Amino acid sequence: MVSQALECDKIYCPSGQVVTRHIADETILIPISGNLANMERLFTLNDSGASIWRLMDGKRSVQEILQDLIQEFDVAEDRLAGDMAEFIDQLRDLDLIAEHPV
Amino acid sequence: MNCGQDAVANGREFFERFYPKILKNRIPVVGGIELTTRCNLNCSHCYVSDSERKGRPDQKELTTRQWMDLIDQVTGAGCLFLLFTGGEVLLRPDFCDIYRHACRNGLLVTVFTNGTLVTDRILEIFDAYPPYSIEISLYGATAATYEAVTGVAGSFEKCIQGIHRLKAHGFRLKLKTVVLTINFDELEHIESLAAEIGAPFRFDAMISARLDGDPAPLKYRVNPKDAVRKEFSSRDRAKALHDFFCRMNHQPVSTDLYQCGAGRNMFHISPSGWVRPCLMVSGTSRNLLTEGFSKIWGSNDFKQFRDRGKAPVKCRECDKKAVCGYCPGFFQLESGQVEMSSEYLCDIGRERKQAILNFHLEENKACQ
Repeated sequence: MVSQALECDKIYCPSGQVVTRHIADETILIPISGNLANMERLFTLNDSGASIWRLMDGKRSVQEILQDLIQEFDVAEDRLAGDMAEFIDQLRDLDLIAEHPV
Repeated sequence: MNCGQDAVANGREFFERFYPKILKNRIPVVGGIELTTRCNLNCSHCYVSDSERKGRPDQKELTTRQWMDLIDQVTGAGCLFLLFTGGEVLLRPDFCDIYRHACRNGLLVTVFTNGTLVTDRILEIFDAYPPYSIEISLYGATAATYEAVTGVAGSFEKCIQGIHRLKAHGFRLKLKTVVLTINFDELEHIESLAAEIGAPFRFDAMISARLDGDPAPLKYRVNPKDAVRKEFSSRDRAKALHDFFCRMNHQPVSTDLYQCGAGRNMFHISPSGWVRPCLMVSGTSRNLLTEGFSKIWGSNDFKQFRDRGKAPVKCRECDKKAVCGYCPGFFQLESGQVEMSSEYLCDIGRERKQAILNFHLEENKACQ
């Protein structure tokens, strides 16, 4: 049973205002323009956050990403869905991702 | 799986994890690009040689395309923090194009400028892509003093205007000065002016000979006692130096010649494409026009750069090394040798250590 909070049909991609860097096994998001670039200079993702970020390519739906990650991580679907919902909310609040029209 | 609370993090925790990996893998995460040595000012203390400030026809600056290609290369090698310095970088008519390219690559860009050439176009590009930081040297609080340093009439007004324009746009602006015999008596006023502008301020008395060996700047050097007295005239500065000394004093003693990041996680590139471990140290340099950055960074010259030589004997066990401004590049400009310590830095170290002890005693007395 998938958490209610996760909007499964939505498709996201990185906002045009952020650049992803991979340095020393770290995934670093650099806001280069917009308000965020004036406030915070970089964000880093943990391994699971980086996996979700990598799959947010403007093609896969949230549901598809969830299914991909269930294969990758040994974790209950409910828990993964809850974590993903929280993560996507954070990214959206920070304008680091944009919704892609379905 | 946990992509919740700590999935998007920033700050200290990240860097504590990041830097050991950078050092272990020798990733060039910090770089300086000297876009030009040309300058519209003629500062008395500048380390750039007179001929280079005017632009030497035999040392052709890289083209826009070459700089962009080079920026792609250093980004690919792992550079994250990039400094644009000069000369005066805003003299390059293609500065905006090069700067935009670096920002779009996801580099955190700091710009060193004298602030006298801040046009609407510069403000527009900084509005679109805010710099990580902009640093301007404010050599005086009055036109007379500032221009006695820069040698150019009208430059003070232009610098102040540039500072106000950048500040009005809300960019991260830092002000600084070198302390010279010329502006020594005005230092408090410069600091007040920076406070009035609302920008952080720092100063430094470390004047060296020019990079071509010309000793002309040395006659403007402030004696170590006076320089340190200025540093300790503010309780905040004194406390910062005191705390730094206490922290560093517990670090293990290293006999390595290079105790900074030069050649390990830092690099410098000259206007004509020469890569060096640092701006100050000559001897190890290779040109990007003949080989790529990764090849240069991975070459034996660069990999072994830090293994060559040991700290000067006098410095190895010296308890003032943490606060003297220890720098083999500075040694080389003083004596021609990276392994020969500088008497000037020794004196600075001695004065600072005494001032730190005095501060410590005063603080403890106040606590009793």
